[in-house]
Order: sequence, then C-alpha cells, then structure tokens
Amino acid sequence: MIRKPKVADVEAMARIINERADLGELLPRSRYYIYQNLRDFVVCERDGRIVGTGSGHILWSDLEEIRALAVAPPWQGQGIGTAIVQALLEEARNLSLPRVFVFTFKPDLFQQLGFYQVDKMTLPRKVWGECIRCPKFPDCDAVALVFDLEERC
Amino acid sequence: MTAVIRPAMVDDGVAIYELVNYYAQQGLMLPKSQSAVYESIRDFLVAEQDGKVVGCGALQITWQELGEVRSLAISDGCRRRGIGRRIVERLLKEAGEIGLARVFALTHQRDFFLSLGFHSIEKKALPQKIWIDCINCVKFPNCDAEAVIINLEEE
Repeated sequence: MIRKPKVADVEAMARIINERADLGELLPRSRYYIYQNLRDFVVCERDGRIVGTGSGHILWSDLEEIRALAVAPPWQGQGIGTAIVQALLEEARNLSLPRVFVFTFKPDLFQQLGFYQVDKMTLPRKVWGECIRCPKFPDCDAVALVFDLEERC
Repeated sequence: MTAVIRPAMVDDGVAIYELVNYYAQQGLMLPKSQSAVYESIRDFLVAEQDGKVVGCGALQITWQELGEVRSLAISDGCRRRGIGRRIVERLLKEAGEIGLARVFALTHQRDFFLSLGFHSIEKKALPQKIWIDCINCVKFPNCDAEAVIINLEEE
C-alpha cells in the first residue's frame, strides 16, 4: 500500500534512506529534513511495516524533483520503487506541475516509466541548490532524467 | 460569496508570495521568498473567493510531534470574516491526521489564537529547533511576537 506518511513513520523512513545512502546510492537525509518536508513524501507499507519511501520536492511552479527514493533490501525487485514513483507522478499531476526530474544512478527504473535522459546542464540553475551541498560535487556521476506531465501535442 | 479553503496548488505560489510579503513589509510576519513558497507549497492552504486567493496559512512540521502554524495572512479587504479561523482549524485537523500532538505559532495576533483554543507559552519553553528560523530573522533577538500552543490530544 502506498500512502502519505505520518510523523511516526519518520524513523523507518530515515533508516531506509540512510542505509542506501551509506552505500552511495543516494544522498543522506537528516530526520530534520524528513520532518520538514514530510508532505513531499509517500511511503510503501507491507504487513504494517514501512518498506520503501520517496519524495517529490517542488522547486518552482513548473518543476519538481524526485528525491530520496529508497526501498529496503528484502523488498527490492518487486516493483515497489516503480509504484512509489507512479504515486509521486500522480501527485505532481494533481498539483498541475508540468515537469518532474530526477538525478539517479538507476535510470532504468525511470526510463521504463517514460522518463528520458537529458544533459544536466539543460536543467534550470535552481536544481543546483542541492548539488552544491553534495560531497561528490562537481564530479557528479548521476544521470538526469525528465518526465513531462503535460501532454505533448 | 463564502471563501473556499483548499490545499494550495503551484499556480497559487505568486498570490501566496504577495500576500505574505505584504504583511512582512509591515513587520507583522516573516518574509518568504518565491522559491521558499514553492518548496513548501504542500504545507499551505489557501482561501479562494471569486477566483482570487484572499488568504493563506501553512502547517510546518517542526520535529516529531510538534508543528507550527506559519504564514497566516488574510488580504486586507477580507479580514474579520472568519477566514483565518477556518484556515487554522483545517491546519489543526491536518496536524492531527499526520500524527502531531502539539502545534504552536509565533504571532502578533495572540487573542485570535487564544480564541481557537491555543494558550500562551514562554518562547523559551519551545524546542531549540524553532530557532533555526528565528536566528535568520531581522528582528532577532528582539522578537516582539508571542508564542502560543495547542495540545491536539486534549481537543
């Protein structure tokens, strides 16, 4: 079940995200960040346990970034990440955001959903707000992908 | 026409920005950049009347069980009609649904919040986390706002 989180879910969310972050798969997130941005997140619950999470962070009226997508190891490979991204895209659509992007090391998951790869430099400068705080900056090895929610004529 | 209270959409970002900064310029609330409005747009409710945003308010989750009512602003012509009250009541309902136990506000309108069931509290009694915003405030440390808090579990 994919649902919006409650504050009681934050510990589990932080653990799942930061276990993946320790392996260099995504940026670590403090509990403070998760609390402050809780409304950005969705969680996947199985048998009463949080097994995955992801967030859509709005940067401007026309742009949202998918952040902190993580699934606990025993639950990987079951389409949970895909279901989380689909839920985030649905939310973005309801907010009438035209465009969602992601920096990722796992482009396949996103490409299967219709995201397409773009040159990082074509994204608005606004996206660098997070990047300059990244330990890897400026030697970023993530791939930038974009999803257009507005139908192209 | 009665104003409709609804979650903010990204298209409301400019109206929220203008409303908040109109009062911020008078020193009545903290200013908010356009970027900060967009980044926290999911925290916001707006009051819409005749297709126009006439009020806004946000629920910021602070830490664990504590939330904060922020950026509560009603346009000049629409005040004293209960719109702010309806926004705060709905923010408190959301707070309960998310699992927050207490919600505070730093305000110049203490009586308004008291009438909604909040009670006064010493600013120093609030957790240090709230000072992250305060230390960036132009008025710090000479804050003239008052702290109020409501315990949702008692409601």
